[in-house]
Amino acid sequence: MNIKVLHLYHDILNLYGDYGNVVILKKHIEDQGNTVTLEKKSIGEEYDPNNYNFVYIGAGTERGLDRVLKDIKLHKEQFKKFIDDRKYILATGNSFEMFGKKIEEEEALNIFDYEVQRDKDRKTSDIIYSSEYLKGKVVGFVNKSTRVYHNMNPFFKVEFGIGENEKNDYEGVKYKNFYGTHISGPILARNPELLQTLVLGMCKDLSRDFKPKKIDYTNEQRGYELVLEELTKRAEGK
Amino acid sequence: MEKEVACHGKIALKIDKNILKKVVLPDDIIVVTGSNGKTSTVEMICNTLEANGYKVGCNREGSNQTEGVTTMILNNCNLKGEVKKDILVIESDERYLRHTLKHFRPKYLVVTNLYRDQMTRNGHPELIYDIIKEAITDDIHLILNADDPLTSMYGYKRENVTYFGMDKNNLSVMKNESAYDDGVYCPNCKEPLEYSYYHYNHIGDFECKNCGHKRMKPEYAVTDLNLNNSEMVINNKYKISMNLRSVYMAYNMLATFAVTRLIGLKDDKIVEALNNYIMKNDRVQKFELNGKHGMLLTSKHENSISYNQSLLYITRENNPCTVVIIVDAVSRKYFTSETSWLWDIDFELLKHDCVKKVVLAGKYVHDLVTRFEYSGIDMKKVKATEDLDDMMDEVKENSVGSIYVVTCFSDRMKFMSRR
Repeated sequence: MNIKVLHLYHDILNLYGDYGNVVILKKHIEDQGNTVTLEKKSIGEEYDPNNYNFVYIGAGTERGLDRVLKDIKLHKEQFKKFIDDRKYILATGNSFEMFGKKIEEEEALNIFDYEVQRDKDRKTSDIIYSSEYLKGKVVGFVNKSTRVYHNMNPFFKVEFGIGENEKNDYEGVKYKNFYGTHISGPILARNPELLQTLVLGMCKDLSRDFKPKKIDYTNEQRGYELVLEELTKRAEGK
Repeated sequence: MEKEVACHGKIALKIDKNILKKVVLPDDIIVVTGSNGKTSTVEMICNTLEANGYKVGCNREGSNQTEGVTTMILNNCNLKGEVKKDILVIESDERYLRHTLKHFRPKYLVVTNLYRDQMTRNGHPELIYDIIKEAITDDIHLILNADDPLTSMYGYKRENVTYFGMDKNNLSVMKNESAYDDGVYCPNCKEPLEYSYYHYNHIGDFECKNCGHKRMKPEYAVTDLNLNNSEMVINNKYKISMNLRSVYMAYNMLATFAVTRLIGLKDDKIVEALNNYIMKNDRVQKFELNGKHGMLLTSKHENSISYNQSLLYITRENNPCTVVIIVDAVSRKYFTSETSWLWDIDFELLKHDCVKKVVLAGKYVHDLVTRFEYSGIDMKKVKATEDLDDMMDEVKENSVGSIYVVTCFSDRMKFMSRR
């Protein structure tokens, strides 16, 4: 089948090599015997997320995000429907903040009920997270200036490094097929299981006859294991 | 080593945090900050001043945080607390500038550029912009890169500022085809920027039709650049031969020209000092390996423009070659496993006829391979290994043509010591 992927705000929310997520996602969807139409849209361009099967949004500077917020708010109802329809969306870095009620005093998309507070200091950290949706752990890096407080279903639990705020050990949001996390950069390139889970999940949702193919991702797997090993050593204080 | 150097300043600041206010400083103090080119620019400013009879105090290749700068200044004092130099030239870390400048005021501040650099510590360039801004007061004369939209914002509606920049030349391009473009939106108002040409990445001739932020006409400009015969021309008049053929080197030389000119040096004397200048810092090193010519191009991990500079250099030299890239320790100063920055580097540049073979190595080789798989480079040319001894065997036995080693301070000895 043909799967339509939208890389949103690709030229402004692109701070940490985020486009890597899209190219590797495309490759893995194709590996499962599909074709992929990849489109990029940004500020001022017409789009409706509902015309796509998968939407990806990456991280930006605070000023960049504020600018995008004005644009994305024009699509509020479209995103509500998209998320309600259980379509797939991955928002990494600070982009997932836009789906909450407010960023500081600025009204956001208000699809979820979280509030975002910005601090002057930057919070950066290598991380290991676990998730009830994955067997293995997720590795990566968080680079942000915010705290988010919510009572929603978190995407991750913090095993090492920083999480959403100083009070809890959760991180990110998962609601239907909305996946939001502050992990920055090409997290799909670094976490083969997370990538496979999203790709296979979407393919199954789109076609009842879908039969997953086993593909050799030795290089990505070995890269992941090495990082997990390094970070586990750090976590254990070695 | 760096820790040891910074030690005096650390102790001195502990005993008296205002110690530098008690020191008699020379009138002329130049501070150089920015993401890339600080060390090279400082070295050339010092050399130019010394060649013209100045006694210069400088933290050349030195510690560039507050303690290191304090050490350097105290080491240049006599017992009465007077600095026995005509002029101080100080490299400052971007993040520490606001702390360092609490202790003294420079007459001149050079900002070379602001790029994506060490973002695991720096966050991103706009944050660094804000942090440097905290240190800038009205009394400082700014010397700014006119071609960098973010850096040049410091000069917005300011009088005591001098711009340097590069005019359009035969290396300029009409499109930015890099992995990312930090010049799509105006750093001032976030509406679209328009470019009439680019030199590299987002460095070029820009204008914002919304707020009016644009490239200011530089007082000091590279009016012609010819890398084939290693020559640059400043202000249509001053020809300088370059020992290292790179656009980045031309910018560093230009910044040096601007600041030493403002100090009062004569044009021809500056040109004489810069002509064929060979950098003493060891970022570029030549070597021989099994009868083959090699060159180490030290490139900063976590800094895509620094890498691009090396990759462009290789392709512009256009000799049949093997390129070795090592990512084993991301930093020598701190730990991180973060490799997102690999996606910001234009490895696509290596899709070039002169590149016959690529050797990737180190702990993060798998991240490199994943990135390379999407670069369009023929993976049959690429050999990858975690093991650094294997890497060396591969280079010794199977390299083709000249050898270029592209890696960071943290990893370069892992190659050089195995030769």
